[in-house]
Amino acid sequence: MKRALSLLLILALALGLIGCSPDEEAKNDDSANVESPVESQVESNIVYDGTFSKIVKEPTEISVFAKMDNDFVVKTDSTFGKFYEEVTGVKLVGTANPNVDDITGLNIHATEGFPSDIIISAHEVDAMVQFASEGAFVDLNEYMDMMPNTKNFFENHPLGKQIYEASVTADGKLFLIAAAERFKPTHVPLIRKDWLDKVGMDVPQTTDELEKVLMAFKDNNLGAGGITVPFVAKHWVLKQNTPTLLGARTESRATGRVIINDDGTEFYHGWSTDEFRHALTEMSRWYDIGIFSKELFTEDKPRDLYFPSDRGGFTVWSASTIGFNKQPNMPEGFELVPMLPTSYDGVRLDQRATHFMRKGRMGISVNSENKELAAVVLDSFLTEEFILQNAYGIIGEQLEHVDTVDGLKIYQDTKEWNDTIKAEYNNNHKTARHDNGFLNIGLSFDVIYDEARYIKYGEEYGKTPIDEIESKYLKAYETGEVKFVPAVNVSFTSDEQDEINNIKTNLEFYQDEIFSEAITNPYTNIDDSWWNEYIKKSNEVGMERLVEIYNTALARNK
Amino acid sequence: MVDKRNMKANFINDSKGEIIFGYIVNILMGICILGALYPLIYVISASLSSGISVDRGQVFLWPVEFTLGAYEYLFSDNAFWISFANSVFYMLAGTVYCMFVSVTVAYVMSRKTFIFNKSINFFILFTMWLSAGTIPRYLNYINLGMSDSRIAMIIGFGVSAFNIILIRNYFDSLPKELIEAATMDGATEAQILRKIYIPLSAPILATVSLFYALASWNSWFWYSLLIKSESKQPLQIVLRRLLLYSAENIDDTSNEIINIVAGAHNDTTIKYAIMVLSLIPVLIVYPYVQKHFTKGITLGGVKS
Repeated sequence: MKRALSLLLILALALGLIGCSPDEEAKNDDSANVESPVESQVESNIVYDGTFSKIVKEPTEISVFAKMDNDFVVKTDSTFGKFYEEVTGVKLVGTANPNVDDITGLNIHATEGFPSDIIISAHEVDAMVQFASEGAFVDLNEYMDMMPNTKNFFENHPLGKQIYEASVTADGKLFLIAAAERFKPTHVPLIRKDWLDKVGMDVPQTTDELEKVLMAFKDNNLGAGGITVPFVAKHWVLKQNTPTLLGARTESRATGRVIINDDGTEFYHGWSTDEFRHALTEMSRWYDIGIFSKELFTEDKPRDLYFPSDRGGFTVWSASTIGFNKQPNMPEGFELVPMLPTSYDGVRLDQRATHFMRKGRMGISVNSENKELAAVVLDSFLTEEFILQNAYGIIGEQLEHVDTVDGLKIYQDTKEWNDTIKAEYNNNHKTARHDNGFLNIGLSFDVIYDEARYIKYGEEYGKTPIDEIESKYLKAYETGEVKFVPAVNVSFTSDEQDEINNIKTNLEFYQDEIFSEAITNPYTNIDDSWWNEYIKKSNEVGMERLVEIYNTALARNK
Repeated sequence: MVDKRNMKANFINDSKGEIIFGYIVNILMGICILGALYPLIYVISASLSSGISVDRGQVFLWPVEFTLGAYEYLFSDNAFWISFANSVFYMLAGTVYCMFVSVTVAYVMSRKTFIFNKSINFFILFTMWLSAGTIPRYLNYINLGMSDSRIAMIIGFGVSAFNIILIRNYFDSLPKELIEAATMDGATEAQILRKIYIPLSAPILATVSLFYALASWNSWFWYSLLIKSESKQPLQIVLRRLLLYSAENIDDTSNEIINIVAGAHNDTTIKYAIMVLSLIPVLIVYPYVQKHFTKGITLGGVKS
């Protein structure tokens, strides 16, 4: 009797659960046959004329999943959000979760079926492309008549054609618009001028000279308290920034470790070449002889640890590292100077310059109930007024036009905004801007026909240490003194993208592990048998197949 | 009163080996205590030091360039107080709700005369063995409208099978004669629970309350997935975001120089200050339940 009653209870619970689930079929049938009242209302509400002004007659709202750099998301009712609503009549309702990292946030949103109207991800390009190939986004070609700025950008901007080619799929569908940013150097070598003076040496021009300088730093024990770290680095500095000093191209900003050869005819894997093997051996030897810190794989903030404590001599890091020169309480005479990458076999190589198509993707969810409104809102993100103000601040409130130099409009933070940044954000401009909704979504500011520039309060245009580094490098790229790793646009089919994502994850995991092992063990271990085993295992994981996919796509795109 | 004369006599009677063993044990315990205490001391000292000195690794035991800057910054930041209040709310409300559910379910499970007793016991135990996984659970919570809701974070995470079993086992150990006597006197089930079981179960209830309170205070995972509004975030989320954000962004192409103001706090010291402040409620609650803790754990784990 008790058993029967228990079974009856279980059955009742099960029926109840099944009964509670929504009727998907009925919902789909209804949506296929009946025009959504929201859609019909929206259609008559749009008054968009292609400028950054009123988009709708009656105020309405649209949901935006936009995530960049972990906790920076489009927030409903942010300062910029309110400004956008005031100008256009459309309220941007933020749906991204700021408490999780980018890929987790995107995946969680995907499990919910991308319920937001507009989806933007600044960093998860592979994932966005993967979702697009699985039908998560609408083909924007169908809405191009409503998107004059997007059309104009693709047709008339100097980079428009390339961005279009980077955005469109192999069969001509435009699911995502590739975000873009200005071409510029990012990670550059910087060396202690005061230490060079102490050892009586000049800024090294070749890698051999660099090694001699770093050993001189070490042998002369220039670091405070008996600790000298000639080359301040983290593991990613070794993987991404150091191989080029040793003559190896190992990755590109646009396509990761699969890179195109010089004449653009063939892809190869940057971690499979003899040059990479040589660079790995040299880095391991440098580790053995004490050029790197023995804790480089575990240290949290080596720059903050070694430069202020007068123990670090050289690094290859973001140009902002030069800021240590002006920080309070630095060692007496401390001076970092930027340098061009040292030449190896007569070639100076840089693979860290930004590539315009690196920065992310944006699209309209196929589950959006406001696709036309979403299309015009997306298009408004590509107006000059939006891009400038979304990146840096509202003109008149956070930003003011201070000068025009050679046709370039120069915008600067207002004093009030600068005071707010100092008082409430510990002088961190990026956090202050992002916290107030100035997110730089869509296109990066300086891609707009180079008609405007932003500088911080009190700065003089073109005169900051970063400006000097950038112009030095841009000149070097132009003249060919420094070669940068080229990129080429390729687009993949859905199956290819699936396969790429599967292989890349496993391959990079394996290769990163082997990399750490190779660096921390004696460099003499990297002999022929070690190398052959590494290549064999990498191919088993899918390295050859990955390159094959890229070359197939390259041949198809030609 | 401790009989010191007998203690001394016992000590004198100990063999040399036992004395040496005693010293070794004391030394090892001292090392363990230092190992446990030092991180706490470091965190407190770092939170009271300047940001620059912490980043340079100059803080070892005592604060360097003493400053209350990090605490001043936090106390002046509304977001901190909001998240602190949220954590206190989730902890208190969550504990009350969890205890209510756990005690009532445990009572039902302990009443062997209840017709569905075995089924309920089975269902509760089943959840300890098998779980649907994170994604199905997440989708379930979203479909139930539990996204970005304080009440949902309390109700949706109310039941711990392990704690229910602990309480049930303790209830099972109570003398059956009391219940029989109460029943004969005409007491209802609710009265038996309220007037007999609960008063006699102080140790286990205090223990389980502490478990729930600590779990609620320290948890962050489901809050990070389900809570989006800053006004509803608990303290652990704020701390986690600070930890994630302060990690060096290797993909930084903004080339923005961040200026550090001398003698002030920075993200590192703020992080440590939040850790110190997040310890305070635990330090307040624990002494009150400590006396029940050991007794509760052992009695709850033993079936009569």
